[in-house]
Amino acid sequence: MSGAGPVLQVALALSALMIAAAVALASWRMVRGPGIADRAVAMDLLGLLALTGSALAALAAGHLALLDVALGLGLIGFIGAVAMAGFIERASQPRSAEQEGDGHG
Amino acid sequence: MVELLAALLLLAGSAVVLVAAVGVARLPDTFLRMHASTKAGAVGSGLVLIGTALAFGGGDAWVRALVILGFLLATTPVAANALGRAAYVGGAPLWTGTVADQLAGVLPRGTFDPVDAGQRRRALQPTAEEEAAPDKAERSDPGREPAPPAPPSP
Repeated sequence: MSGAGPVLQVALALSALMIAAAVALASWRMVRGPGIADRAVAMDLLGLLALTGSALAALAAGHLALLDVALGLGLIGFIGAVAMAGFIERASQPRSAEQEGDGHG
Repeated sequence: MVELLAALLLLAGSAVVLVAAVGVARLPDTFLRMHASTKAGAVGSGLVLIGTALAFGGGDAWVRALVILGFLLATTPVAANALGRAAYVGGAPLWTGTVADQLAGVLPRGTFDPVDAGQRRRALQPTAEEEAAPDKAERSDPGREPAPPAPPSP
């Protein structure tokens, strides 16, 4: 669908503005976040926002291929979040658990 | 008509995502922020995806949007669970107004310190001398910086 109607155009513009505001807020948390877990949460949300923005871009440009980009972004975001969680958990084992021999390192 | 519905879905989804971002920016502790981010984020993205598919209107678009939606619904809880567990184990502080910590005593709470953890892991195979005095041996680890203001290990 290449020629989007006027209603859809306005909705697209407003949605893009809201997504941009959300990206600004999440980035603020990413810069500010007192701990690494807060930054990981902000990164997770930023990945989700990129996915949403990519869907909007697909509609604005009229290219279905950008929806595939959204799928890829979702996949990368999930893997990144799980890897980050594993890293945080491994790097913060208390000493007693560590010396009992590294069950799931 | 379809266009109007698609426009409404797009606006609703973006609004939900914006609320999620406000929650991540403003809520007082890590776990509350995660609660805002994951649920509202998945719903918002889902609404935007359905709106996009409706506006495109073809079978291709619907298949792609539904695949992404199913993937999101399957993976978001897993990622949130892993991140929440990691935040708890990593010692993220709870909000002062928290009334119950049901994980107290179930999961260990450490502090996030990658340098310290790496050196502990390298020292996991203790020599005889280290077994005699593990604390002293660890403190004299040559690779360690002289005096980092490390948080007290439990």
